[in-house]
Amino acid sequence: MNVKMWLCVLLIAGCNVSSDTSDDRPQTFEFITQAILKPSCGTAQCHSALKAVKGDVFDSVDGARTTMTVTHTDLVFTCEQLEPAETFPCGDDALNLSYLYKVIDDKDIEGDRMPLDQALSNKDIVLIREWIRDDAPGLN
Amino acid sequence: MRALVIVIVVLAASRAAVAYPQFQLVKDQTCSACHLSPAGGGLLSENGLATAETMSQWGTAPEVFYKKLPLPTWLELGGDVRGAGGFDQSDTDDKGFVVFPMQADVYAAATFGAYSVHVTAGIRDPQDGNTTATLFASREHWVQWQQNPGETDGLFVRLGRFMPVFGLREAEHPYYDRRYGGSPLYGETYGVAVELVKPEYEIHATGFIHDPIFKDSIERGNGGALYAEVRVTEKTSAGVEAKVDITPDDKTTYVGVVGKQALGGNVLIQADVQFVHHKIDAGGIENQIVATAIGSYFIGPFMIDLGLNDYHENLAYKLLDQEAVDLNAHWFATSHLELILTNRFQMLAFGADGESSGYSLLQLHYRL
Repeated sequence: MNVKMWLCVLLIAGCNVSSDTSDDRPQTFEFITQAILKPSCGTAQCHSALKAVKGDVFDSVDGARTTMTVTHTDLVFTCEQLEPAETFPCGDDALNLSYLYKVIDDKDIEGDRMPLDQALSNKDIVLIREWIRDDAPGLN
Repeated sequence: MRALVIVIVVLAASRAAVAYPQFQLVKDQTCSACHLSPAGGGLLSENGLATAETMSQWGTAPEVFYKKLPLPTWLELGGDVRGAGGFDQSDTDDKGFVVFPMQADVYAAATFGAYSVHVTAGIRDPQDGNTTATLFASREHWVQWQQNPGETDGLFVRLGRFMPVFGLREAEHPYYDRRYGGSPLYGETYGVAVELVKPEYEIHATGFIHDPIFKDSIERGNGGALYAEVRVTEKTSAGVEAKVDITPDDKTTYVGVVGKQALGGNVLIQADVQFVHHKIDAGGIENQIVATAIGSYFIGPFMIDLGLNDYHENLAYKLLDQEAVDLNAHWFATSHLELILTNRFQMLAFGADGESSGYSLLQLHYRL
């Protein structure tokens, strides 16, 4: 009986219980920070306020906002930040300059993709990409 | 450069003062049977020291500094030092050999009748650009009242800084029930805990607040945690757990079940399944599953762990799940020295959503 109980636990844990292949999650700065950046990047030994590797903090909305708007303004570009400034929509101009997208999608300038321990899911990468394309609502 | 980055990143991957829950039911019934803390971890009791000696390859005096340091009866000292090195691969292009320190902590407990003071202090990976102020830290410090002084059971009340009791509380913080669940690395924070420990059951209730001064914790919220475990038989235990964590940005509710089953005298299977409801104040809800199951096999001075992990970031969507398989081999060489070969293979959606990652590391652990 006990062995069966544990097998059930394992099976439930391993099940893919998701139901939808589309993605209508909020494309907002707050959601992306809390749902993606905080659990994947804002861990204790990486970009938490505790460690703040390279000064970047992603374990809170305030920390992520300061990181993207003050500490490393090259992480996310909006159309207005381009030089010369553009009006929204600005195509992929802002996306192509945004280091955050570059580093999660491919590599940083040192050849590392983030997060170091495990890449983000494609769905999360796409959500961040579309958020930047949408002029990063909620960031400023 | 990559190696340097990993060294820097993993420098902070120290282990909290947690124990091996693998020993419960196989070696003894409760964590407090071997540890001074009712939650387990940190300093060993007389029984814990005896266990460390008897299960190790070559024994040696298990007391701190091999009992060569005379201590008053009211004082207990100890510590843990860990380092690791090996191969790490995060994707096809990013791989290499790494070496890094993990932990350098000392523990002290001073007991005066029913009251005791416990402190864990040491070196942590400092905040970038703020090394001087953040290199040394005390992850735990609490005052404890114990109903039955000198005994391993009864009522305990703790006030101070510690990890709220929740989940399996493995030493290995990469296990998903810690990594994505309710007991993450550096999750110690200030709180008060009322804990009742009996051979047949234990209940731990903790109220906690975030550290508003030093901010030396990953915990950013206030809330409470409840953990209750019943030993159904000498070889079987079942538990329930709940935790609520409220930050200025979100509210996270964890509800879970824990089970442990010893098979014979040398196998333990344990599992922790947590359902997580994450409400983001600015809009958005996530329902998640975090699960870890570990099978442990004891043979002589060795403990072999096979761990299975599942994390589903958002149950409403496909391809947002992540899995990991761990295979760890512990060799308890002496009462103080442990060598661990730790291996992980990690996948996105069972390998259907991108490159997998993994590592194989040899870890040296010395207990003072």
